[in-house]
Amino acid sequence: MIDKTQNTAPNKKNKRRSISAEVWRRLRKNKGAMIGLVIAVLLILMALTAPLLLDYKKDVINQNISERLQSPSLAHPFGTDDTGRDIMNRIIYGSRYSLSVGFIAVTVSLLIGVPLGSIAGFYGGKIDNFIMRLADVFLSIPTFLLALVVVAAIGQSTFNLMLAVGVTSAPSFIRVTRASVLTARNQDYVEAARAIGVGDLKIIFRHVLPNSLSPIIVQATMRVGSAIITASTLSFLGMGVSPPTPEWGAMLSGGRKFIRDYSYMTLFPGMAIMITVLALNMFGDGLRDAIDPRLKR
Amino acid sequence: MYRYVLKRLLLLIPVIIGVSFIVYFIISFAPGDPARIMAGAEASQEDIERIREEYGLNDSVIIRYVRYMANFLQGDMGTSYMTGGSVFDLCMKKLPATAALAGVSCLFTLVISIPLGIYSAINQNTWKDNIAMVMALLGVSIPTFWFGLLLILLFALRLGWFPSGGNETPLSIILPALTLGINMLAFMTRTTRSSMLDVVRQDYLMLARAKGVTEKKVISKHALRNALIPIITTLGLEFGGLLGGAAMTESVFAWPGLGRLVVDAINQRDIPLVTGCVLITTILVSVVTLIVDILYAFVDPRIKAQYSK
Repeated sequence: MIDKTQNTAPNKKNKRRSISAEVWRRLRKNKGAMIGLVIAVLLILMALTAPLLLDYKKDVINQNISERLQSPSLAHPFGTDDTGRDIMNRIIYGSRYSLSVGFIAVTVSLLIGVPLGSIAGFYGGKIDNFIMRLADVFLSIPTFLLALVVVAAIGQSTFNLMLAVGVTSAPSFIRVTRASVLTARNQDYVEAARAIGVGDLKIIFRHVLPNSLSPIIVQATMRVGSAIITASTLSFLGMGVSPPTPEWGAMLSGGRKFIRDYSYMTLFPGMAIMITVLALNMFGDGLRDAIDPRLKR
Repeated sequence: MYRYVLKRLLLLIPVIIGVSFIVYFIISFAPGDPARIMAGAEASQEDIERIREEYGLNDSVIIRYVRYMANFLQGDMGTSYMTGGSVFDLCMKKLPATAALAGVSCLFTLVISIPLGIYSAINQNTWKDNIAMVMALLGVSIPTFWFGLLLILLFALRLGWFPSGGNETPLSIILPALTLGINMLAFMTRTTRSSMLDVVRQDYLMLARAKGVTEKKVISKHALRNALIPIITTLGLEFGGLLGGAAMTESVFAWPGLGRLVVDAINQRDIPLVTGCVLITTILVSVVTLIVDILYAFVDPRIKAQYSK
């Protein structure tokens, strides 16, 4: 038995590397996924370099009444808002909020969902029952309503918004992780590890989880986009990031009053959200097909 | 079959207890004193104290929750802090508007997404399929509140075909229903397409064609019926999201339903009203899920056989 684990360990490593290479090979062939990936990378670069290009105080939140409500022009390609701030600058800077809310919210979901799902799937029995019934209760409340209630309770700030969106989408990660762990825990190598006296925690994190990662990765990728939408919707309703922060949802909420005569104020921030989410979804779709070709159509 | 339905209805009880517990507790942590909000800006300290006493706000959260549940079991969902009216009556007054909105959204979804999905599947990998799939991808990715604003801008303000909000005329429901349903519509189109693609390659379809059944009949009678299961599942799963999204759609279109009531109630820290609204929405979603599960039995005799075990 001991021999067996020692022999399979290096092999397993090789095989894993070849799987990720295979996934990348398939992903590269998928045009949609690559377009999505390129756009997403560009957006992330934009978010990272925004502070180098723009001065937050001067270019992003400084009000300039003499230039208020100007239609798109060469000086202001996306126009200016009701306090004379350049909308393009705000959208560029705003990518920092929308993207980080999306990624951190999903990280929060992962941090809650993966451990709980692993415990439920690995141990089964009463613990499993308890965790899953709790997840079911949370899942039966419409996610957006739950997020609204949580944000109201913990107060409005960018961090709380991430927390609220992350916590409310955690139950679906519990489900996915559990389902995935359930199939991995009965494999021979788990039995082998247990036979040589490896502890439960180590078995879960070293042996079971790495072999159940694919559905979790796919779920996480797909969730970033929906987290961005949930967060911007909350901001739009005045329950998320508050002014003058250039969050895209909050910008839409500000532009809404002027929709009749200055529709560009509503057009551009919304388009920014859509392009971001579209890119993430295109990449996510491709990743799902590449990881699990059986799903490919 | 009846036993199955009964069992599912009984399972609702722990869900109701769990949901009410979670929502009541979370919203109780919200900053802001409901007594102060109720009393208004110019109230004296004594007024506030009196209100606090009257509504039992001095007790701990746990005692308040137990009292809430005791009343709930007697059919009383409490009194709204905001209006002083019965929470149940307030919710029931708003429910029809939301139900109508969700219903019309589902109708749009069914009428558009299933034919479009089938059309896409039949024309797999042609430009027709590609256009439909790009539209569906856009539909899944669009933020619904922005889509609502675009619809208002185009159809209400520019073209003047529909009102931009409220529900004075029957036409008022069109734009909010489209807004609420857009994500689901797009998602269902994709599901229908992939579900059809799974089925069209099966041998029994080949056999039907070999027997000389017309292509139209092969698709509508033989393929669609088997493709319907995942389609119905998706519809049931998405319904919860639909009712959650109502909070946003109703705010954008000033639609007087449950969703707007919940947003107002949250802003006012109206704990009983928030709990009541979320509970009623959750029960509604659970009942719809149950109806969907029962629908399976009608579509697929194999599942019906399973239920009666």
